Amino acid sequence: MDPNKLIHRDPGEEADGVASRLAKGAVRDIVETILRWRHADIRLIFGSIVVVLLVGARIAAAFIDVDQLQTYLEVERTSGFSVGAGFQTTNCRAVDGLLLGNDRNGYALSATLLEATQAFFFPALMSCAIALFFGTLLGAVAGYFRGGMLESGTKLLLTVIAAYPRLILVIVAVGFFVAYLHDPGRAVGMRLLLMAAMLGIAYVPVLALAIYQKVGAFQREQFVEAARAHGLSDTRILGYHILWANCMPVLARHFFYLFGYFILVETSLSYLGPEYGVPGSIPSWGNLLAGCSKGELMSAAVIGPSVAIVTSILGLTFLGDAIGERFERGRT
Amino acid sequence: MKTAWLVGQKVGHFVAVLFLSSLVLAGLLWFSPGSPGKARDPVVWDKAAVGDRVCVDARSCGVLETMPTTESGEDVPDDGFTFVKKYVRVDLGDGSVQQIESGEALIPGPSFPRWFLGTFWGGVLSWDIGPAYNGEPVLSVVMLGARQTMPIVFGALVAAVLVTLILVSFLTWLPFPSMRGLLRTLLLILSISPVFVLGFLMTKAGVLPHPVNWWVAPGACIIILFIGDSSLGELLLQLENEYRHLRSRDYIHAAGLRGASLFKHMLPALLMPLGSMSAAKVAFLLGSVVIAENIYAVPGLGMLSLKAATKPDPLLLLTLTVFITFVVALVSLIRDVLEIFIDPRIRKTTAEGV
Amino acid sequence: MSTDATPAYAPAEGAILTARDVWVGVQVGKIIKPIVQGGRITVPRGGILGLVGESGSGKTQFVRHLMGLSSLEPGVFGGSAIYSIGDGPPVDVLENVTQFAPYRPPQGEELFPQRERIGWAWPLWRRRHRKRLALLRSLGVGFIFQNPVGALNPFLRVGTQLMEAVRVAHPKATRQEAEEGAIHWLAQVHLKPDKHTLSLYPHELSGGMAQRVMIALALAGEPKFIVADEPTTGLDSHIRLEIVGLLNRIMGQGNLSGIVISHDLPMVARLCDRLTVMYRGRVVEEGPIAALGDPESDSHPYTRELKERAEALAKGRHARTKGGVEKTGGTGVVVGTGCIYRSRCAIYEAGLVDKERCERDQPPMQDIAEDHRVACHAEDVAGALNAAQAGGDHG
Repeated sequence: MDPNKLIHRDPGEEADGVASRLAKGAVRDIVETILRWRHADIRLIFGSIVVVLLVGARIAAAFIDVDQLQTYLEVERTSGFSVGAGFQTTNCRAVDGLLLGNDRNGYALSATLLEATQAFFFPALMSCAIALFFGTLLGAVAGYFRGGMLESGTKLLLTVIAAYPRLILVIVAVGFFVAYLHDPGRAVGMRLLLMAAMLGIAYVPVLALAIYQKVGAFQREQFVEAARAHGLSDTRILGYHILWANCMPVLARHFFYLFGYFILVETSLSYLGPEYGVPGSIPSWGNLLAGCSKGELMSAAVIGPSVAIVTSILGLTFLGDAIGERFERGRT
Repeated sequence: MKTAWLVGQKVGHFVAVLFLSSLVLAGLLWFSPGSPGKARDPVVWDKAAVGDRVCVDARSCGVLETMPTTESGEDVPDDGFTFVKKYVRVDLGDGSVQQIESGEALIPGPSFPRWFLGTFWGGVLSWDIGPAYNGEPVLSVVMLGARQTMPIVFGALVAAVLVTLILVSFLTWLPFPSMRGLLRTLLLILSISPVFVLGFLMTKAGVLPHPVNWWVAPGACIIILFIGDSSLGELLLQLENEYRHLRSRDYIHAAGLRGASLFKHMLPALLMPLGSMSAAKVAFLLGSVVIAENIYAVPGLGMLSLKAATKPDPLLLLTLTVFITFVVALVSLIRDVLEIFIDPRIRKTTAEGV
Repeated sequence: MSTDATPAYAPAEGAILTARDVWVGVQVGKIIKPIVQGGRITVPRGGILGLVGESGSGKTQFVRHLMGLSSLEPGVFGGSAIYSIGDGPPVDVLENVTQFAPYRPPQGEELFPQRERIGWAWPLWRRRHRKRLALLRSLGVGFIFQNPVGALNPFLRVGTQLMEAVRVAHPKATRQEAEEGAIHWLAQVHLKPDKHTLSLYPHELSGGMAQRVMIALALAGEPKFIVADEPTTGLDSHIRLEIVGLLNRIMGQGNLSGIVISHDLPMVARLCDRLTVMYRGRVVEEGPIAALGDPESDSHPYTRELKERAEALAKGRHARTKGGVEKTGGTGVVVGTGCIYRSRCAIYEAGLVDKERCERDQPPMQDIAEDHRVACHAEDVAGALNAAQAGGDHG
């Protein structure tokens, strides 16, 4: 951030709304981001591909109506191949006519893999939103207004939240709050919401610490004193100059980390069973894996969800790493 | 003595965090649908009297105005054969008086301070918290679970640290940077798999020996725990980073020039980051152990917390979570205290002149 | 081994360290930024060499790479550095580097070092290089670092580290003997020679004390070759005088050879026998220390500029170059064809030299006196310089 830009600013310019200022800054940032992609490293490329695939899968999932896709009953009718009695099967064999075979409920695995992104996509976004909002708020406040009750109080609050293992908090909330709800349909929505909220809150200390360190480092810079001397309010200094201009890479990095972590948590809980995650009638990658407990190792039903899970989390983590390294180094 | 003061500070911090975190969780449980503050148990009319506090439903409570009588107001004794509907009147205190069936009257649940400070913390200090959902004392249930889980968690921690140290030494010894990068990436990909995926694949691939001995399930838990959920990957990256920074420090160069043992010089400097990483890792492992135990059906704290969350049993859940937080905070405390003893800069901050 | 050394690189007569054509670079993004370009030094046996230059001239990195004390990537990738310590044959620590290094120095019109090969075997060469250096260290090499507190292990007491150093010279010493040796060296550097000092931690020492401890550490190994890297930078002036006096006493003792790296000219003049001047990664002058004394004497234009500045500073006047181009060039390395000094050179400005040559070719090291070389294209360097300054003198 060039301090000269602060010194030469006209008093009249201050009349511009914060929103328009932010917008102009955002456009500049986006253009710079695109320009930097020329020197992308492989993690960035891989991560971006994974993100594009995830978003595409989610969009596709909105259009898939599983009932209308080939079920194994239909396959049985068309190909004459009998997959055995019972609608639910745990051996998940590959069936002719279906791209990846079928899952436990008899639906096409390829379709259910896509549809499973519904289970985590928007809850993950919500979780990230909560974590980013509260984490930034607490971290920025603690880092900017150093010394005094505000900083110590915030740090204590963050320490208390950080004292629990994250997964335990999520399980506590999810299990306990939903135990009394008897409507399974309503329960799923509530459960995912709670999962997202608790994970977001549990992640707040991590993000707050990162922001706290960054804001603290910038707060010591002289341009803050110069800005104050020129009459800029603390909110503006903190909000625009420090956070938006300089802490965006940190936020972006943690956004992707948390997204990947949410996928991990949601699939783990769904794997554990219908009481904790998404019940069996609604597809989730964890669910699919749990359902094929008797299948062979090399079958699509086992490889498919495993690869999906590992690739998503890997891609998001790599993307977070790459963004962090590239932009944090370039800025400081 | 400065050291005593520093250690005392850390211990005080530990106690404060423990208490506050239990308070927050208790508050969370109190306001949930399964709150222990709700009235649940029906009134035992033999022991009740007019003027007692009774509840008409889970939340609203008032003062008992009348003992059970029939609708017409008669007090018909219970002969054990015929069921006579009796009613009572309860003054809810906000000006309304409600009449309910005597069978629906409930004993009020405990107030929050009574439950939190009295039942729970009082129970902790007197080593008797109360019964769990299966009737056994909460503390013995928790201790039984801990006997299973703590070896798994600390075994996974030790395995993670040892394996990481070996891997870092190996990677440093490896002369080709590209090979190093490839190996590191492969390890990262392996490590980033969630614990349950690793467990599932391991079981499918038939890695576990048969017949199942007493150590197979915990051993399998340890293996998937120390590798999965990025446990190994993160530790590896952080330790490599620390090592690389340390290696370029002037005093390590100087020690190398003197032909001194680099190990002796680097060890204290590495112990501290390693300690921090271990403390963070214990917290992480205690979370992941829930899933690992579920896969291999180990009756430890993980399975217990899942049961407590879904039964629901708030007292057991609170005890479990506080116990886990206690372990995490204790490890942090040990790490802080060790740092006080290892790093001389913390103890002695006054510079002495010639 | 000397039999394997390429004929172009042979140890100089009576020199304990002969380094020629040394290239040191660091990878920044996709290019190699050269820190030392064709560096050369000759340290006479029993004599002290002063290595002077501005900050950013690469002098510290140069010497650190010759001794294996740096962790830059790729580091040193060209040249030779032949040590003749001890009674054994001379050892070239950079033997065969050009056959293994992935980069080579730029030739002709090239500006930056070029990638020559993939360099699969480069890490193996590095390993061998470090083994050779380790051999040397056992024969006695000491290094006094620039930042004293950074060079002492903050977790170990001063005594522990000193005793370690004493055991370099006396590997079989018992604990008692090592302690006595440590106390002896404390006395040598004018610190309180008692157990209390030994029990101190580095962060409890003041700057001057820490510097003395570092000198003691370097000396305790009883080295035959010692390097002092900016020993007085960052110290208060009165401590500086004491440290210089201490170094003078130590280095004045007959058999010690060494290098003093500094941009403090008076100190170098007092401590050293020979002089090497570096500018922006290249060596521009090699000569006797007397070349520093008289501003009018023969020397490279840059050296003269340094001398004049030092003199003006000492006399308290605002430094001004007589007729030279007043350009405070940036720090750090410059790449380019031709002489890097030409932007500041009075001779070049005055046109007393073939300007095209200055822009095109690297100036060769030409002898202007007995064992005194400067890198310049002008035929009579001293004369041209005097003429240029006389002509451009603004009084």
